[in-house]
Amino acid sequence: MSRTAGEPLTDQPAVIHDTFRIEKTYPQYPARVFHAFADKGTVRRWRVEGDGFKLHEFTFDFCAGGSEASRFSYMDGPEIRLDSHFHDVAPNSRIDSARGREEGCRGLLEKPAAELRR
Amino acid sequence: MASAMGAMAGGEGDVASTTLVKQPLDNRPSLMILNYMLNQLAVDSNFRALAEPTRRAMVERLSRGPASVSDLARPFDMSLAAIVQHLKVLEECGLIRSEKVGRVRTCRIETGGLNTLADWVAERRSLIERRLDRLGEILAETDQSTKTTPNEAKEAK
Repeated sequence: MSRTAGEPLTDQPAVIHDTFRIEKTYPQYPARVFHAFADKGTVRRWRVEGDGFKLHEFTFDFCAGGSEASRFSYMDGPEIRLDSHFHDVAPNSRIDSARGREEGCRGLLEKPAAELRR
Repeated sequence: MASAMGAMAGGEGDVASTTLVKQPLDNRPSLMILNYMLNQLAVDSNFRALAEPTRRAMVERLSRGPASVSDLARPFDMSLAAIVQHLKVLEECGLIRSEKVGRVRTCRIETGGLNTLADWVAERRSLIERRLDRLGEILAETDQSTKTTPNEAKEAK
């Protein structure tokens, strides 16, 4: 950290903070969409299965205080490990969670909040 | 043409040629590589074609409906030869097609012509966006199998 004034800062930061928001509208009722976030079989299908996914492990316990763990790889990429913890679950409206993601030598800490609105 | 060949071969030859046609060609590794390369070339020529503002404007115009070459030329301050050259580029990479009836050449958007680029863009979407797309597909699937759940029936009232 001993950087003299005027010296260009070329090193990549070790930690990057970022926030993003994705809005997506589904024609189904919130109850149906919530079910797709809550039901193990359905979650498995849209989150870690499908073309290009190779699933190695998947556990899922959906409730406040519950957790989700999955290990999978996508296309030719490295194994990705996701460990999620559900903080708060408000049926049909909101899911707060935190998760750690390991991908090769990179690590991500995410704080996803899913909000369902009509 | 296939039926004409079948009629000529007749009998057993007919059966053999049918079996050959039904083989899944895509499973052969060399063909998969060839398909991939052809697709890359198509993506390349499509992007090249659309990188030019005049050609992009022509595609935008044609997406609103067919137009004659002179209609397409009107907004641009360039020779008819140059216009025809631009249209030729678009037609060669399959984005538009044209036909001449009498003395008028009419151009229109090729149905599915943008699929190559749409697929390319879709494949570049981030994992999280693709997951949400997939969620949409699954929700739509279950729409067809089970019409309404008791909860929805309540909400619908």
